[in-house]
Amino acid sequence: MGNNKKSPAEFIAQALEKHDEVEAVNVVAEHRVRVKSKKCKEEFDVAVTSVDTLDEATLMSLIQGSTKPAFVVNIPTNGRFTGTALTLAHAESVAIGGVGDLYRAVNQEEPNKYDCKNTAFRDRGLRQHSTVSGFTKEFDRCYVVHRHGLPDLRVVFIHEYELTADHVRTAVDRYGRFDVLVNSDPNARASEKADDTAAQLGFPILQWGPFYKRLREK
Amino acid sequence: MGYQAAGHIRLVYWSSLPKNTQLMTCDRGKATPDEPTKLRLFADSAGRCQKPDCLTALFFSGTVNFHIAEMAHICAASDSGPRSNPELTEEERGAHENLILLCPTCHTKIDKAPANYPDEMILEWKAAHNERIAKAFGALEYKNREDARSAIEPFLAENRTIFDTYGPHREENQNPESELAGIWQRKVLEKILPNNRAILMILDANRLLLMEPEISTLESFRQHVDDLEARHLNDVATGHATRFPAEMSKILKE
Repeated sequence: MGNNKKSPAEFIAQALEKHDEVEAVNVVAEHRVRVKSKKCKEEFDVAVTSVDTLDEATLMSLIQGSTKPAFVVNIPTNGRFTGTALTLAHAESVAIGGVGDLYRAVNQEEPNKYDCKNTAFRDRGLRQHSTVSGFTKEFDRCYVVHRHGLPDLRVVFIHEYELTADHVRTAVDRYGRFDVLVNSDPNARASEKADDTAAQLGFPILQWGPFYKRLREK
Repeated sequence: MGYQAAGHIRLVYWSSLPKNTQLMTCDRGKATPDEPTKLRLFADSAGRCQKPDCLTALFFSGTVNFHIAEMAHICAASDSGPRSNPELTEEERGAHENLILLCPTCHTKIDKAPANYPDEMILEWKAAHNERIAKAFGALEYKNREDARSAIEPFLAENRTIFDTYGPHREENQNPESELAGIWQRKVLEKILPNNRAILMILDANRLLLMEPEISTLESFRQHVDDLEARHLNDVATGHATRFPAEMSKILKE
């Protein structure tokens, strides 16, 4: 009986073959694919992994080698990136993200400069808030927000069109206890069960606007 | 608002006839319409004279309920009557297709001057009256799949365009303060939901034109419409809302 399980690189290669902007994609190593896209003049490498948490050490192992990848993709939908991994990626000019991010990065002339728009909007909003003195990214979606004269808030950000109780419990599973769950999808609705579950667990679910106001409160 | 197909309009009207209404008697032997035919005729009229430039109300409620409706034969019940057609059997002369409901004045007019009111014209009055009623409910029965498809095409196209331009999947919605979200929500309420209802009414009215797999597509679409309305009218989110069935793009197409 053969082993038909795809390697992470094969999985990503197959996914990218369906992308309209990809002219060619080849698996060059167990955790590497090489991509030729319409927008990018040069071929570029994508480092591939499939871990629950991509930390600094894992990222370092993926970007080492003769060719630095333009993008590091972590396959699991609920995969997370540590704050130190994000800092390292920025320092090394390597883009980092999930499969959806990779798909968007391939559309760009410089995939290594891909910046998740959602993250960019979120970070800009926090930087501009007069009460916020700064923020620490514990993970890509979990921030500790520091405020002038007020206690820090541990905030988890998600982007879900229909937020369910399962999303709430998954967030708690992944990030532990936090003060606020922010849903940044402007079209989002939370189910009644989601609200109830969050209330039982001791935090509110807020859209961006109410969260922005919450930052001024104790 | 229910899924009122054109066929069901008749049922709706039957139940709204004033109680104790005496349906008109007509004694033309075998050319006499039977009771179901009379009921159907009365229902088709929606309570009004079927002559397009008359439309007089035929039913009245009060201390005494009464009506002034008269069943008129399009082709005469007898061989010597107005617009007679000897080729018709007696049963055909008393059939629904050969009858129209008019006020006393219009009935008198068409029978006193049949040359001015040929059978083709009166049949057109009936068809136009049915169409007027169906339009009021937003649904017509079409003769073929192509016509039915043409009826839903504009609604599908408009909804598709709105979704592609403003839908929740758009990149702009990565911004939690996206202006697009407000536009999308407005257009769902003003356009997409009413268009969905119109599509459902037309498909329900033309259910007989659908092939078996298309019935499933229609029912999937109905659930999608219900889920979308629950979300946008009643703020209900469950995580299980159904998507627009892709097969709708092919429904009623050859």
